[in-house]
Amino acid sequence: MQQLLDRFIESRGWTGDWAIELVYFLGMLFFAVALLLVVVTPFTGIVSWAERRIAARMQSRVGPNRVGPQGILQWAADGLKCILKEDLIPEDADRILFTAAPYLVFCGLFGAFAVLPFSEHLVIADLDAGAFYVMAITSLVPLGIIMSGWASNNKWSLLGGMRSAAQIISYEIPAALSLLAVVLAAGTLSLQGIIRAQGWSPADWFLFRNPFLFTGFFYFFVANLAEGNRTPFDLPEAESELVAGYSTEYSGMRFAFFMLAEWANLYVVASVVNVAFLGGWNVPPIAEGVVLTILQMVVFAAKSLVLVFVIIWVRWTLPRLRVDQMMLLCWKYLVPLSFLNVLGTAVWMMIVPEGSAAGRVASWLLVLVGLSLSGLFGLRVRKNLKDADVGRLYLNPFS
Amino acid sequence: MQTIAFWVFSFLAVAGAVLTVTRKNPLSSALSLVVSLVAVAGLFATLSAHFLFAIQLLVYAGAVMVLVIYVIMILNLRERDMRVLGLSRPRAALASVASLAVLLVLARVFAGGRTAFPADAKGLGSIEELATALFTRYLLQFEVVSVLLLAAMVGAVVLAMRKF
Amino acid sequence: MLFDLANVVVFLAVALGFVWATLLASRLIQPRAPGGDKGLTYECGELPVGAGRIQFNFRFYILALIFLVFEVEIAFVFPVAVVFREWLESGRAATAFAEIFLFIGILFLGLVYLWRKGELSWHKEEPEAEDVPSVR
Repeated sequence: MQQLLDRFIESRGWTGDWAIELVYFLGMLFFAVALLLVVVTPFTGIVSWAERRIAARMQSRVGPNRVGPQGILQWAADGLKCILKEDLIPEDADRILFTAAPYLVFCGLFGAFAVLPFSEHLVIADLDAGAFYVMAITSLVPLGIIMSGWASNNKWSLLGGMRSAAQIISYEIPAALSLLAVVLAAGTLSLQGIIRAQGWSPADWFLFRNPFLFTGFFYFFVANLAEGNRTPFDLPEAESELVAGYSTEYSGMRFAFFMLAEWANLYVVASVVNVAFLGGWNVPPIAEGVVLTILQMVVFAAKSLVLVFVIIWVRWTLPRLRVDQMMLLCWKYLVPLSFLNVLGTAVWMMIVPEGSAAGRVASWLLVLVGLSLSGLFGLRVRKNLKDADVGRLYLNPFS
Repeated sequence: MQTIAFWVFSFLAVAGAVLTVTRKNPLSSALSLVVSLVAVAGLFATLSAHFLFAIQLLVYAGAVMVLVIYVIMILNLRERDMRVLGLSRPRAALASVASLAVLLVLARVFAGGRTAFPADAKGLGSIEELATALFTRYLLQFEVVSVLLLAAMVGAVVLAMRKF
Repeated sequence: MLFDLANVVVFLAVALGFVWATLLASRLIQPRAPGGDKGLTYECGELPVGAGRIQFNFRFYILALIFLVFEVEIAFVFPVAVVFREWLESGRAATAFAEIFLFIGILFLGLVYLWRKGELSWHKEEPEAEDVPSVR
């Protein structure tokens, strides 16, 4: 981004610190607003539509299909509706906290987009401490959630807020520890640096770098699912017991911001997993210039969207965990295992130097393991479909 | 631009801190404290101290504040439950001015224009520099910190779980 | 580098502004008809019973404490992890590993302690706790 602005300033022949600073400032403002209005908001909207469609198809329903082709504009209609709704604040609510909570939740998640790369050069800010920054800024979310739960003065909200915050902070530990293993292997905290430390072929991805990172991927993914309050960890919003959890008392646009944050989080989670384990925007060196950038964007978006789909898929497949099971999984399995992962990765890096023959063989073996696992899964799905008498199910997603 | 940012963040930090001690409702105080802590993170950002910026957000604005809010909620303090501290306004003002003066003198004596990490091309206190310092010069302190954390964890659990 | 962080700060400011502007727009066009039972909190359609802010499980507090300790630990280990690779290449890997191992190992002892004390289980066998109305 900075190069772009530098070139712009040069082409205009502007000099003087003030002029340059002003151009930088306005440029940043422009990029931020553009990303927010053109990319993030429509994207999260479309994901919300996609989730409802996919959920519907998985349950042999139709889902939203009226607004726009296949209902793809459903999100715009929803947003409009929310803006037009009366915004209620319960009489006994704590007004300051009640109104402050959506700000914290939205900024906490939206802030993460500032460091998420889209291609090699397309990133708002390539921070030195990028991976750390994502963790830091999203740690504002539980604050907002507890505040909303408490301010509402509603029992369901309080329960939901408490559970949600407890869950997010618990799973932050295994998530951070798994990321730590990646940082050990990459030797940098910058998200772009982590991507550069990988390559385009699967054997170069951190996912298959060594057995510890391979398992770390699953810990990281599960921990991030829990941090996003997604099923099977959606106890904070368990509809059947807690109404809508911490957002029960919210209406209109304030409610919409909680929802927007939830779906924006899908992309944040998918992108961070993509960056840390799946090689990010790395492409084979077959193009350069603008074509290369576009190729990188496509590759990055494709990997992230597949992950988004997997997250949605998991949500509509698995039942919900109980609170004690959720805590058990985190503290007695994920935390110790990810501790071991960090040490294991360090040991592996000392024993098997990077790029050595043994390392390459191990990587390709792990790729084979990954492929055979997915193959087994596919076979299993085929068998289940056969047993389920597919003839009566609709498999066409657009019907 | 940097100067403007500095003044904005300083103002927010001080205003948040003042609101923290003057608000009656403990949760509003906590929210003001969040504002203050985030503004301090912003101050680190104007110094391009990436790592401190992230740490400030992660540990203080995130983790510590969650703990503080939990405590406030568990005690469930209302305004009517709170005892007014036996300090009159002038005395409180005097106390704050005095402590401010002490702090300023201390800052002058101990920091006195020296910085632990000189600003380099990568900004003030880059991660690599910090880590190298932790690994070499401050190795003992680094390991002692982990013992300290262990003690904190054990102590907290023992105290919190004591039967009253 | 300064540019990057300034960018993030502007980005966050824009996010705040976006929320504020949208809420303002919504306030300008939404209908306003206060009164009735709208101001009540939702409790399955019945009138709310008792205070909304109920006593909740003490365990949440312990959890926040443990989380804080681990978070500080992670904040310390991350910079060290960053230079590990550099140290590996310059042949000082054993020292670096020993240092990380010691740091993490000590904290791991804390985890073992919590486990042994039963603090990691949500339901700890405590008969006295039964008569206190608490919330899981």
